[in-house]
Amino acid sequence: MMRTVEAILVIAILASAFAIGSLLTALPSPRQVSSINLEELSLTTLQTLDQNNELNQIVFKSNVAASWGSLQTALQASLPSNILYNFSVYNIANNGQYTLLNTFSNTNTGLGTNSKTASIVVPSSNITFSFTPQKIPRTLYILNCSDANGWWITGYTGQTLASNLQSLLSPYFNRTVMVQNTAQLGQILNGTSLQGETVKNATVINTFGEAVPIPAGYYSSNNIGYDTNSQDTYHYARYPYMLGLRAYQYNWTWVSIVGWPFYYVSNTALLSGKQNGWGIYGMNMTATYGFEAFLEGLNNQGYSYAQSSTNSIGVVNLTASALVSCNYYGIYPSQYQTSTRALNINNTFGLTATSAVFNPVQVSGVTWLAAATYKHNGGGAFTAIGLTRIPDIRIPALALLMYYHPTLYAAASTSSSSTRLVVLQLGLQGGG
Amino acid sequence: MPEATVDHLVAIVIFLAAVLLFVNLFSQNLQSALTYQRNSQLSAEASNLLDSISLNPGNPQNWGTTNSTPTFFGLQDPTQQGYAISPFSLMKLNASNSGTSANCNGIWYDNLTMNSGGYLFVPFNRVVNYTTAAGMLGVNGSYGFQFAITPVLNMSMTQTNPNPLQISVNIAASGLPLAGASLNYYLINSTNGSKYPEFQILSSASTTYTNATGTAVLTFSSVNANNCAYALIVYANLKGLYGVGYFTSPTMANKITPIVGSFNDGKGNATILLTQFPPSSTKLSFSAMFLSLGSTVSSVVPMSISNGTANLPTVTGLVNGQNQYAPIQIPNMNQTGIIIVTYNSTNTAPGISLLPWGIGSLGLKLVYGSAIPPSSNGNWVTTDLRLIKIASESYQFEIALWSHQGYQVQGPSEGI
Repeated sequence: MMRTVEAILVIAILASAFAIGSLLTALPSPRQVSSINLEELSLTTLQTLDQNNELNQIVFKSNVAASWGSLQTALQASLPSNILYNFSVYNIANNGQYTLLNTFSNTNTGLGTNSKTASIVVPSSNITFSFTPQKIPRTLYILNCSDANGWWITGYTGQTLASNLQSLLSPYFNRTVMVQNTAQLGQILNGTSLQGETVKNATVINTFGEAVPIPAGYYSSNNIGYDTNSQDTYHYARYPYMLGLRAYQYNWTWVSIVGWPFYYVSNTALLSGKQNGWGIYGMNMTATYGFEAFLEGLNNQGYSYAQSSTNSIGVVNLTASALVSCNYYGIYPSQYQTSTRALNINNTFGLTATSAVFNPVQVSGVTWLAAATYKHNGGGAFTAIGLTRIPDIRIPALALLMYYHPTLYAAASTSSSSTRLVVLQLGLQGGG
Repeated sequence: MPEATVDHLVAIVIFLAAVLLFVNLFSQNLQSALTYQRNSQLSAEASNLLDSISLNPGNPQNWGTTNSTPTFFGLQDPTQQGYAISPFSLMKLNASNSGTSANCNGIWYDNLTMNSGGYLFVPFNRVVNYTTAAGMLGVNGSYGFQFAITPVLNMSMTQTNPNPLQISVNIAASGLPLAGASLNYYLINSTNGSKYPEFQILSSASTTYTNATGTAVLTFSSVNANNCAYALIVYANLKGLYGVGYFTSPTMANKITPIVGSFNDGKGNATILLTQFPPSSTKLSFSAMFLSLGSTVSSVVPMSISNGTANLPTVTGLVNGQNQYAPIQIPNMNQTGIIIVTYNSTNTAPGISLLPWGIGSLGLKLVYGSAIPPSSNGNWVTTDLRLIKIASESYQFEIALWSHQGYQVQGPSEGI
């Protein structure tokens, strides 16, 4: 009898152990076992709704019921029907204090203890930032010659482009000088300062597209502005050679803003009877020879009359570093551009491509660059924007800023409205 | 003495029965805990896999726009950040929701044809199949998965009147009508020309909004649907949610179908083959164009296409009949758009076909992966979900994951 009683006692002990063990090893509810990652869903929902700053426009309209109603509809549409949400907007005052501005939900019973939350900070569109740019220790010459015509700058004149480039780039350079006519261009080509500025190490932007202004002295000088070799059909190809040589001698960075560089020379007075074949007078064609001559000059080698080449590579897109620079300098050209005059001069004529603006394109094993700055190993550099017309001056500006990369120093930030915190809490229907 | 023996026997029987009972009870608790751990681990695996696919462009990054096969699988748009999926990489997936495969001129094509008039045929030798992708993700043999990429906005259209043309657009999401959505739209209508089809593009003059039932009626007073073929492409937007839908009419028996020939011809162009599918002996003339459209673009941007000799905004030509095709080239430089082909013959009415260049251009839904095992077999299938964007359209990216090895999968799988 005693044995049976002992066995029953053992059963009682085992039952107690099981009861205590079951109590201590409380298992979660089945819903918690394998649920949607609500935290990530919440964050991606907020990011989706904030496309094109849509959230920014709504959360600063606390009193516009229609906007909030549309946002609620959009939120409901974004989420599966079994998801509960609570959307809240808080104002963050300058002293760091949070105040609830608005909230809405699709449930009155709460989201349960297993709900998850994500939040994003939405800055006011009234925030202003001002910067002081680091000055590039160079003179910026912008060709604004009143006695020259441009080509492939359709819809603009060289002068209007010069004015726009001045306002865009002058804050970054030590000194900006507008070269008002071809006579002044002749002066700086001869090393003479126009306003006491430093001529050497300058950056020269040619705003006349595929044409380049030619001063009288160069126009009339044999073996300087032109050559008389009867084999050389385009005699003025000699002039771009001199420009290349000056870029080398003075350590200039020469900037071509669009198209095939140095395809024409222009002087409306001296070439008044000549036209470019398309009815634009005041220019003479150097064709594909001009650019090759420039590269020879930049490489400080002898002049030879030879053709250059470009390639029409179609649509190109900005490089990752160009996108970073776009954000850094606040210059936002279209990410996609069409290049019909891309170059493959990297590692030729002593040039090394730096600061590529667009991703290179491979055509039959050859790498073509739509826009980049080519630095010569002896001195001088050449920024070529081989896009199709009409020129977008933000691209050459971006190329130069990528090349010199001046630092921006934040000076002040002001805001008439505070920042707002948007919180999205998600839970599952029936969730614990 | 016999009493003691009986006492011992009874006690032993009771004791053994109790031990067996409690061992069984304890093992049930233990089994529940282990199942919980394994299912939780599967859930974490699903989340990791979803992030691995959507936050990584794969290798090479541009595999979606070239003929190359990736050496690592990922679908993130290499030109974007965050949960943005490449519209081109998705085109190169052997989708599970494909229609019947098509054989055209001896080459087999994956057929992701949508509603009437919209076609996406991609050669099988250019698409990535599920087994290859699973191998690159390191889950082949250990886990099965399927993901679905579905537009958030479900748009449907019906023609309510032919002359003047009226089309009713309805938008729903999560089963609810989408009220107050703004609509911008483009109508391409084509008529028989003297030699090639003639067409015009009408865009919305002002923004239209859906009513409380998610419906808007679009009227084109200058268009008579009885004597033209047309395609309507509608872009919808509500507070950051973007969607696109389309409608074409009429549905022709003899039609020109655009199919993808190659993603890259070595010059940065993709080749599109215009062919009669299903095959017929009717001669059809066509006009083809490549339009970049979008809810944020105020006007149509025509992209140049090539007929092999010149870059043109519109290419015209003739498809003579069975087993013949006309190749055209379009720039394949991360630019989404829609290839529109209008066609007719001397004895048929005009027709129109569309090919989305980039998933998302026409609001295509894509399902990829293995078939989800039935729950009746005791399989545990976990799901996870993100909101993503493809080009500028809003999509839901949902993944389902299950273990191939039942309860024997322990710990994190390799490769993720």
